[in-house]
Formats: sequence, C-alpha cells, structure tokens
Amino acid sequence: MNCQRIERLLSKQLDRRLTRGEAQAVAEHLEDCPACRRLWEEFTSVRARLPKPGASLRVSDVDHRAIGQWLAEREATAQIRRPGFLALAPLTPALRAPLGAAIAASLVVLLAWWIHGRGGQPSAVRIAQNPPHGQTTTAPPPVRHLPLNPADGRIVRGESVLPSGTIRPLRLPRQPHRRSRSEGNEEHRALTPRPGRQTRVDGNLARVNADRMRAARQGVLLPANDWETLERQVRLTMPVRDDFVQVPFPRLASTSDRQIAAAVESYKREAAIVDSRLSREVGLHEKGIALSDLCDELRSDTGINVAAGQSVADEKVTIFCEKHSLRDVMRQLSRPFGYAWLRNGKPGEYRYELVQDLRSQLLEEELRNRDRKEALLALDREMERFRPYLGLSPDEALAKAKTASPAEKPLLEKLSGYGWGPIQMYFRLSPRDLAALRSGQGLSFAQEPRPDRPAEQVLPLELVRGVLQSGRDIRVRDDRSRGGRLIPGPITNEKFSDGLPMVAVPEVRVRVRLGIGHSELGQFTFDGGSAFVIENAGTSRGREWAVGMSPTVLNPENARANARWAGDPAMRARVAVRPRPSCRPSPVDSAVPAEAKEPRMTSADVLEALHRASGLPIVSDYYTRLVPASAVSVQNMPLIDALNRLADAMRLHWSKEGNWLQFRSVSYYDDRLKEVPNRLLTRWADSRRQHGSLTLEDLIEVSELTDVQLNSDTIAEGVRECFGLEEWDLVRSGNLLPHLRYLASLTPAQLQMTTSDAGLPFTRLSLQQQQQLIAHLGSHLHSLEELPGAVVRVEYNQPGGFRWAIPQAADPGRGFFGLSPVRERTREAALVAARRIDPKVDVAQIAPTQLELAVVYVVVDPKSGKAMELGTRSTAQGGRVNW
Amino acid sequence: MVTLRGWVTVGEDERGQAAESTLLRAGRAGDCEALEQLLAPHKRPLVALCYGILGHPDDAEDAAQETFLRALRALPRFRGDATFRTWLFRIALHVCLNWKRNHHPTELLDETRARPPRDADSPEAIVLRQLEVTEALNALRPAHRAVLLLKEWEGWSVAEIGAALRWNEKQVENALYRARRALVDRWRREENQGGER
Repeated sequence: MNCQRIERLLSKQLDRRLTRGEAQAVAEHLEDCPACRRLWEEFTSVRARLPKPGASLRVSDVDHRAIGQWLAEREATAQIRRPGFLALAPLTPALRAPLGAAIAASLVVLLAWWIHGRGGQPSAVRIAQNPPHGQTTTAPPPVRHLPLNPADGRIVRGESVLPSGTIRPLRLPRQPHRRSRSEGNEEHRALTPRPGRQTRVDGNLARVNADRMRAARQGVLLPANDWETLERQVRLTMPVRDDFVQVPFPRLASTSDRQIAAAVESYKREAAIVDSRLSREVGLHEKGIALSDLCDELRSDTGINVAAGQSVADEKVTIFCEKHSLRDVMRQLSRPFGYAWLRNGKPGEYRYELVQDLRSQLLEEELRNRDRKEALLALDREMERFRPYLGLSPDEALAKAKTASPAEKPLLEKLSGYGWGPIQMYFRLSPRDLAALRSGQGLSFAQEPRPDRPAEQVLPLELVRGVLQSGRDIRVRDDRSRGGRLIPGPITNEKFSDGLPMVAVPEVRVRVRLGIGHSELGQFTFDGGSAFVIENAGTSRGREWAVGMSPTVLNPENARANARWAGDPAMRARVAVRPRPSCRPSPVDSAVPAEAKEPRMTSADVLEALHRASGLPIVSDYYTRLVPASAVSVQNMPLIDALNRLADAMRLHWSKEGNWLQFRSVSYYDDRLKEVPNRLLTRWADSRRQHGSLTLEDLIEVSELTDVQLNSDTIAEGVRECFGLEEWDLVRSGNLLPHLRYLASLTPAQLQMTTSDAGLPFTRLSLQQQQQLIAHLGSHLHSLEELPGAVVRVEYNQPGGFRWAIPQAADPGRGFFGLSPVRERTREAALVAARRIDPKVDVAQIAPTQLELAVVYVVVDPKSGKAMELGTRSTAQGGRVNW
Repeated sequence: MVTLRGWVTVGEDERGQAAESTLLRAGRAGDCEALEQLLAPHKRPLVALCYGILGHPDDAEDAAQETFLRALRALPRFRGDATFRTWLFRIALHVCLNWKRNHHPTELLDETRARPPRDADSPEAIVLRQLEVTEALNALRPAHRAVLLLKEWEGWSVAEIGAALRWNEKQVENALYRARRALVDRWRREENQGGER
C-alpha cells in the first residue's frame, strides 16, 4: 500500500472506521514509514489544537429573540387567518362540556346576527365577557352582541338609545375576532421589557404605566381596534378640561350595556374636572435638570403630588420662567416632548405622573430608522464629491490642491494622501460589496491576497502604483547588505529619512481596507487605510475620509419652519445674547492650554442668556452637546433672527406657544439613547472630588453603561468638560472595556484583593465567578489546568504619584506587563519602598504615574510551571495588549 | 426536579428524553418558559458551531437565532427520530452553509504585524498560535470546516454527519481527510517559516 492510500486510511482510523485488515496494513506501514508516522501524530493532534468550542464567544439572548419573533409571527398568522377560538388552545376534557354549550350558544347568536344583520337590522359589535380574575381556563367566554344603530352608530339598548349626551356616535368596526388570554400575553412579551426590570407601582398606575390600552383590554376582550376606536372617539368628543392631562380610560370588568354606559359617564365626569390646585404659581430656573428632580422640586414647592414615571425620569430639561401657574408649567413639560400627565386618585388629592407611552416610543424608533437611511444617503453624497477628481494620481492631486478653491482643497488633500486608495476603491465596489460595507462589514483588498484570508479580494492592478505613491511619507530602509532586510518606516524617523521611496522598491506589497463606521448614533463615517508590507514587516495608515449625517439634523432650517412668526411684533424686538459657559475646557485632550481654548456652551447656557435677553419663558429638552461661544452669541439682532440662528447652531427646533419659547433637539430620538443620567454623573463627579480621581469601582460602574453611551464622542466631551470626569476615555478604550465589565462580577472585597501585589487567586472565586472567568478568558486559556494557580491583578494609576518602573531586561520575571509593587505619592517614598525590595534600585527607575489601568490575568503553565500574563495595560490612547 | 409552570413535574432520573419531550409538548403549545428551557442548553454550543463555520461572531449569533427560529417554526413537524440537539444542529448546518453561499465573506483587515520571534512559551507566541489555528480553520472550505467541527466538537459519527448534509459516508470521510490534511499542511508551512525567521 502506498503512502497516498495510507494517508486517507489514517483519517479513517481516527474515526475508527477501518476494517481489521486495513488496520493491520496501516500498522505495518507506519512501522516502516516515518513520514506517515509523523502525519498520524499530526492527525491525532488536530483535536487538541482546535480552539475550545465557543469558550470566548459572547453569546447574547439569541434564543429569547427567536422565541419572541416566533411568537410574534404566530400572533400575526393568527390574526391573518382569524381562526375560531377553538384553535387557540388545547382543550382539557373538563372544558369540553361547557365549551360545547358555549359553542352552541354562540352559533345561535351568530345565526341571529346573520339573519338580522343581513336584513338591515342594527349592526353589532361582539364583546366577550372576561373570565373571573384568577381563573385560568382557556375556554372561550360566551359571546353576546352590543347593537349599534346603523343610522347614527350609537349604542342601542333594547328600544332606547344610550344617554350618550355630547358623545359623538360610536362607529365600531365589526370584527368577529377575539383574543385569547394567551395571545394577550404574547403581545405583552413582544412589546414590553422582560419582567423584573421595571419597578412596580401600585394597582392602577402599574396597569396604566405599562401600557394603558393593554391594561384596558385586559378588562374586556374587545378586539384591539374596537377599543382604540372607542377610546379615541370618547376622548375626541369629551376632551379633558385640564387639556394636558390624560384621565385613564375606565376598564370594564363586565360587558353589559349598562356598565359600558356607566364607564363612559365616569370618564366624562373625570374629564370635566379642573383641579384648582394647579393654579398655584411657581418660578423655575433650571439648566439640564432631570425630570424626576424637577418633579420633586415642584412637589415640594406646591404640595401637589407630581412625579416623573420611569419612562421619562432621567430625561433632562431646561426651563426658565417667573411666576407661572403649575398648570402652565405642567403643560410645557409634556406637550412639546410628546409626554402626557396621567391623573389618578380622588378629587382634591389627585396625583399626577408624567409618562411617555408606547406609541410615542415607537415613533422615536421610526425616526431613528429614517435618520439612519438619511445619514447613509448623506455619506454617499459626500463620497460623490470625490468623483470629479478620481482621474488624478496622488501626486497630481497634491499639485492641484495648492491652487484649488477652498471648496476643492480638502477633497484634493484627502486624495493626495492615504485616502487615495480607499476612495478609489469605494467607486469600484460591486453592489454586493457596497451593501456589505453599509451593513458595517469591513472590506479588504490586497495586491497579493493571502490564501489564509478568503475574504481578502484582489486590489485592481491599476491602483497599486497610486497607493504606493500615496505613501510618500514612508521610506524603505535596506539593511540587506548588513544581513538584515527591507523595512518600511516613517520619513520623520531619522532611521528612515534617507531610505528609498516605496515606488522604487518592487518588494513592497499594498493592501487597502474600507469600512463604514456607526459608532456615533445618527452619523456614518467612511474610513479606510492603506498598508504597505514587505514580507512580514509592514506599516499602515488610515483615518476617516467622509462623514454622513442626516441633512435635517445638520441644518434644522428654523427660519423656514418659523416664518409665520415674522410678523409678530414681539419677535421684532432687538436682543443681544452673550451666554456664560457653565463647563470648563478639559486639560486632558490637547496640547493647547485650557485657558487658551474658546469656551464652549451647552444649550442650557445659551437659553439662559436668551431668557435674560428676551424675558420670555423658555422650555427645552437638554442633551449634552457643546457649541463654540462664537456660534451662539448674537449682537443687536431681531429676536426671531436670533432664535433662528441660535437654534440652528445648537441643532434645535424652536417654536412658540402663547408666550413660551419651546426648543427641542432635532435628533432627540438618537440623543436620548446616548445621554447619561444626571444621577450617575453627579455621583461620579462627587466621588472624583472626594478621592481626587474616579475610583476603580467608579470606572467599573461607568463601563456598565451601554455601548451607544460610551461610544458617543459628544457625550465624552461633555462629561469631561461639564463634570470633570477625565477618566471617561480610559473606560471607553476598546482595550479596557471588556476587562472592566468582567471586573463588575467581583465583590468589593475581591476587587480590593486584585489591587494587592499578590492579586486575587482563582481559588478565592465562587464557582459561578470561576465559570465567568473561564468564559471571559475563552480561547486565551489553553487548558483548565492553567487555572488553579491563576490570579487576577489590577494596577490603577492616577497622575500625581510615582511608581517603580522595573525594566523588563533587569527583571524578566516581572512579567509581560511590568506590574509594579511600589506606588507612592512622592518620588522619595517610592524609592525607599522600592529599595526595601531591591537595594540596587536606581532613582531613574522611579517614574511619575500617568492615568492608566492594567488588568492582568496571570495563568500558570502546568507543565513548565511558568507564569503567563494575559490582559492589557492601557492609557486612554492605547497600550500594551496580550489578548 | 424540573417543574414547568407548576403543572408538569419530572423526576430527576427521568431527565433527558422525558424532560425534553415534555418541554417539546409544552413548547408546541406556545409555552414560553418551556421553549426557553428547551433551547437554552443548546445556545452556546450552537453559536460556537456557527462561529466555527462562519468565522464571525455577529454572523454566528444571527445564524444561531435563525436556526432557533426555523426550529420553532418546524417544531410541530419534529418527530423525535433524532435527539432535539441533533435536529437543531442539522438545521444550523444548513443555515450556515447557505449563509456562506449567499453572503460574501468579509473580515476586517488587521494591520500587518511584525511577528515576534518564537519563544514557544512566551505569551505572544501562545496568542499567535491560537490566532494561527483560527486562521487555519477559516481557510478551510465551509463544508469541510463544518464536517470537522461536528466530528471533533460535537462527536457526531460519520453516518450522522452524512445524514445531516445528505452526503454519503464516503463523501464525509473524504471531507474529514481533506480538512485534517489542509490543517496539517498549513501548520507545517508555518513551522517551516517560523524556523527560517
């Protein structure tokens, strides 16, 4: 048997699929053939060398999502098919008899309806009786009909028409569909958060806050559309006198005509009530305050029980007014933002709760989707601006840029450098590649694609020279004569300054990568770069080349939207607006001293100045966004022009209601998701004041914010400047975030241990925590045997101290990350402490600390006993990673 | 004891098939909790398999979700000829292989690394080795990769894999051989390159 045949049999042998004769032949062959023996050993090692299945994988709730989607599909199918109620639930024998009777009764009623309905008799709506509370039967309740007068649509009871008073005739759709209890539950699961995440409030409010219509439907098994129609029409015909308040629509426990009429009457009585206590006057001067705090303030000022519901409690508003009635203020806090006040309780002791209902939340979701599409289109338009210059080489673009107009210059400059390759490739992408790019996937094109990268595509040959030319600030050093090799490097480095340009080195291979980023909600960026590789050494350059934002966000066009106010004499008054900044530039993020920077304003600063200048009451939502002072200052300008200009600069829409000026962010639907609640920011700012910097516990808490919140650059800027949280960027650094989120699973005592020199031993973790660590380490862990001696260590350094920076050459045993056993407030103290450990420590080894965090997992190879360090040591700008 | 909504109780020794069939019965009736209990044990291995075949964590999650959804839709037709897990994995296999056919594979370009010298026990070397295994797996044909992972991770027999893919056993054996051979050849190449550096 030859080796080629044996090789295939070796694979079969691994799967124990050889006959006895074949196995014998293989064994004999292996004895004589070292090559096949080696292959056999390698085949047997394949399983061991494969990564462990899914250990490092992040596995989200894919099962829950699938179940939710399936249930939604089932419900949709059920609605389309409108099956009889018999199909809705399996029947137990005990239910069959009453159900049979119910079916018989229903058939009789249906027959009657058929005869009367077809004969021009009053049309009917089917209302099902709710089963008694707590009864779990799934059998359908008996069905009866509530007749409507076909002439005017009013509910008819016997011979008489209901005393509907001012109520407009009800025109309810006739739908023979009914909902089972289980269907209601499915809808609940599909539309509301999973249980346990919302705070429970008492009886009625809980039902109302969760979903007012759903709660109502639980009372009567009317089809959804019927209920909505009923409620809408009653609300239209009988508006609440306190028009910013919603009185919960009555829920009916029974379906008799009398009770429906009584419920409508009850609503009318409630709606007609004006709460005289709301005329109490309040004055407010609040910048970016959380609605929950504002409601607390109103409650303590007026003694009236007002509160912000869970859905809006953390939303921030700016409000300036002098002596306005509480009714007026409450109206301004709800209507401009699509919120509603719910009223509950007895007359004279009414409680008010501000909420955002599901419909309004779904509207925001729609707006976000629309905005996303507009931003993608805007990005495409931005890219199209490069098209006229695609015929230029990088050198030609550079030459043309010198004499170009201000509009052309930035485009040509991008094309003259590292942008040339990615931009050229963008215009050569197939529709499929473009779709992939827009869905967030990266694309890679190489002069010589590597076989181990199946996703890599071939870079068109005609682009290779241009890409090489675009890397004009890279030179290639030729060390081959000294036994070295060709190495590319930046011309600014003196080692490379006399090197060869890349176009002169045929060994250089180029790659181009493209991507569309969406890290900041509401904005897409086209980024990409070029890499230059010689054998295994390479260098790359990349950045973003175009940004797309929805035009409605970029340019709110307030002048056009508010042209109707131009004739208002009050709007012609001339004003000067000079806002005072409430935030200070951060010293962290640039070489320019903070004092030399142009101050930047929040919308609250600007609106405060506007209120001072105009004397008008103002209400606005508040989202963290800083604008340069020069863009939001006006001198001696008609009020309407000032409003248009300032609102455009702050990306707000403005409007006027009575004498109130109302403002709202044009991208509030995105901003809401990015904003960080005040209650967290103030707590962290207090902690920072107390400890001099954020503590490790604070950093971990920050890391538990959503990715949308942490990815936002505008929020990061505001958090640094307005709350002084300089450590924010450290947390959102990609190197550290997963490790900080892992540390959140430790108890405070365990966390304390991680910062000690000995670290937190694996054996001190609970079983669940050990599992979490294993999952976190994932494929970085070779075997579970590496864990018994493992420790978790954290070193968190803040500026202003000194540490013993042990050179790795001096002590290879210190490990990959060089964690230091000595950190002190002064250089001298650090030196003394270090010399206690090693008397030979030189003062040069004592280095000032900077803001950095190391999270290190020391695992021990069971065979060699050698410790290995995994993890990262990073500043906000980057760092050392072994992960 | 496994208790479902207070009305189904399954003894400790009856776990497995009995519990699964109980959950299946309840799940078919739309019992959300039962469905969660039915799917949860298979979530991680399923995502792992999808990741092994597709090579991208987000794609793997999407494929796993699609698998669960298809399984739920087909639940009334599940006859119990194979175990639920086997059936689930068969669906996953088809989802992933179709996915591969219909989606152009893409990956982020990670900038060229100047590879450090190989000290076999250094953390860098360990990281690199892991990276190389992953890259080697990704370089296999998707169907070969799927066959290998089902064999090595899930311990499926050649016959089971054949049934899932509608291949004959010869084809499965051939795919296993090619996958192993490709991995070994690649590792040999890398070792040679490592020696030359």
